[in-house]
Amino acid sequence: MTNEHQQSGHSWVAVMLLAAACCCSAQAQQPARPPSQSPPDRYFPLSQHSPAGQHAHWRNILQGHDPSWLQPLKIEAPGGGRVDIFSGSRVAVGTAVSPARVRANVGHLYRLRISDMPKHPGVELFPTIELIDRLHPPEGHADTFPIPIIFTDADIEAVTRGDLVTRVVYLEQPQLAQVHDPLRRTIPQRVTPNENVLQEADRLGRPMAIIRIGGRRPSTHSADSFFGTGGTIQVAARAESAARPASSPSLIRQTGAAVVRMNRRK
Amino acid sequence: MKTKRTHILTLLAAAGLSGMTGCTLLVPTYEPLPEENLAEELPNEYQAEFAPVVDSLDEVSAEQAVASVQQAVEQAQPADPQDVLPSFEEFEELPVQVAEPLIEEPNPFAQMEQEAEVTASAQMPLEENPFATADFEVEEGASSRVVPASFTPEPTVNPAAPNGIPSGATNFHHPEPRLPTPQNPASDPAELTVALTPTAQTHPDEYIFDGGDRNYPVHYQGGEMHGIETEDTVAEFEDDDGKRQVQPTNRVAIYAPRFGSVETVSGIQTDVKLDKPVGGSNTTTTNALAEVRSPVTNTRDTLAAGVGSRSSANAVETTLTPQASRRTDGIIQTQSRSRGQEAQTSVSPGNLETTALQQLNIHIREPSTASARLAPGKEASTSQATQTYSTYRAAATLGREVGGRKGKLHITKEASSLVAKAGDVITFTIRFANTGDYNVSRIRIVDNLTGRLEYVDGTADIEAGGNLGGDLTVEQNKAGGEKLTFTLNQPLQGGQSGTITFRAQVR
Repeated sequence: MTNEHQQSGHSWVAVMLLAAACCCSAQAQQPARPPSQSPPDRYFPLSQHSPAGQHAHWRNILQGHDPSWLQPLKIEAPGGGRVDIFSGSRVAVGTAVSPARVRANVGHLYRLRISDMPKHPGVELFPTIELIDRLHPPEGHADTFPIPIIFTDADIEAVTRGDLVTRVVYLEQPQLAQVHDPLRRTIPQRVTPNENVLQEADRLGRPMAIIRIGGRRPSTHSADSFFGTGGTIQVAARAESAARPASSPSLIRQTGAAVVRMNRRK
Repeated sequence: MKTKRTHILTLLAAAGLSGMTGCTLLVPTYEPLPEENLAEELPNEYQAEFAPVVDSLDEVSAEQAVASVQQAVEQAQPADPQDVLPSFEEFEELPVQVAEPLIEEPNPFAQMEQEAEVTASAQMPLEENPFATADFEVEEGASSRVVPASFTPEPTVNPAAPNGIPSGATNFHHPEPRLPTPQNPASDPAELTVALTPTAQTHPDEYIFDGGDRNYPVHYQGGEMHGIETEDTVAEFEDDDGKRQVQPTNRVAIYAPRFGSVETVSGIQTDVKLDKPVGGSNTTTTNALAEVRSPVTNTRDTLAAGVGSRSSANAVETTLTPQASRRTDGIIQTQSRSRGQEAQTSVSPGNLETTALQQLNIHIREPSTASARLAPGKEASTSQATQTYSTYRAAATLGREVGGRKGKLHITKEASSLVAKAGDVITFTIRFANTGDYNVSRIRIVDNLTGRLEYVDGTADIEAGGNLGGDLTVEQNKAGGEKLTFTLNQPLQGGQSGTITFRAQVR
């Protein structure tokens, strides 16, 4: 046998071994689940462990981004306080007094700063709001039904202890409606960290917003992404402008991609 | 004599010619007949055969044969003059004769039979198809009756029908399919949804619905009403036939979204679920999970000698002696003699050698036991003539005279506001009307409120037919809300209407 023949024979054996290895690996990668087994429950790829803003990003990819619709929000701090709103920049795009009425674009992440809380002096929180869905109210009734973003004393205490509270605000399914308001229950609806809070919210209704309340604080080195993804937001200040004269014009300020309109409530 | 001979010769000649030419003249062979009236003298059984079929004739024999045949036909028994059809010209000149209408004796059972037939044909699909209840309408006329809408009465020629049967009562076209044809869904009040925007259909979770009949339709099981879910509002009533019917209202969509929240707290100090202590954590290294299974340890010594079994012929062979397996069932031992009703069993002394089992078999064959089963009373059965007669009369009595439309309740629901926040009070108005000509009774309107609506006590008013009257029963439903049941005290006459109002607070 010549060298040429030996090389061809070796290559042929190598090809056969490679094919056998591929077959073995393919068999090993086949799912072990028998075909008769029922499929599992709906798969939820996202959870409270997903990075902030990922749900909104996926939502924009799957359902499309509508920059024209600004969903009204109502931000309440426990016992009142000051609410600063950031949207992709370390400069706050708006400041309001709790309860703050805000309109924000769906599919974005926003950063808040809650301070000057009378019941918690010296405490500053930097929670995030991830807006993932919107309402479809009749014309002229959009501001009547804002999505409630409520911070409680328990949240302040949890953050003081170093915990991370992830709250999902959902639109209640009317046919599964409870007699009492589920948003202001004495005992909040809570799942364990091992469970998917998004899945539970989806079971109860339609998830609208994800609120994360933790102990993170911005630093001088924090990137702009820490302050949100830059969605459009409007803030309607109420209490602070009450002392102003009635003839004071509206203050419009534009920061980055956001347009802030500070209106005086008549 | 000579004439007879000539005639016979002529016939024979004709027969001979016909035999040569294939003619099938039938010639009787009996005594000579008078030549002037040959056919008249023939017996009747031959007259029918005197119309032969001529295949072919030569010129000479054809004339004779045709002449004889014509003569025979002319002298044959003439047909009934009424059977003779006139020519076309004569037919046109014939006067038109109109038969006088037959005046029959009035049959007292004819009307009941016809009504029973119509009633049976109209009511049988009602039992089979519950959806066909609304497909029946009442024909208005001198004396109309319940007919399916798929039937169209034909005009009757004789208006003065015997026994006063009205025209168009029993003459129908061919029936059409029983199921009602699909209509515009929007025309059904149950399918209507009153809302401010079309988003009530695309995003129903932002609305509170009240009214209609969602999910399982309202039905009866064991005499009780089932299928009343929250949001449902239906009216139950009895028509003039005594049949219970259910009519849902339209749906009212109130824009009132409500939010909830669910949270989770992850941290070190609080709410940390410790599934197991730190000391019990698994060390999932390769060495720890490795399980040594040497071939020596796992080898099973399954020698053939250890588990083998010998199944040679000698090992499995069982020796049964002829004495052990032998049965001595002689004929005499199992024989029993039954002599009529005496049931005597003749067991000879030699039979005492049989076993006890065989003796038991002998006793079972007692003829008396078998004869007891032939009880003549059980074989007798009465005929069903009486039952058939009663069925016929029952069907006859089903016929009824209906002079108007059946009583039917039409019910709608309204809300004072279609946008509401938590705490707002909404006034609901339920309007109902009897669109038929006959009374509807036992009216009960059930409104199963959703958990988002709370009935305000003392705000219900019932007005029916110009009178205030009715009862309200408030129960707690499974959703924690209220189930309101309005019961009218009096039947609602045809054409009358009523209103129920109550207030509910949005939660």
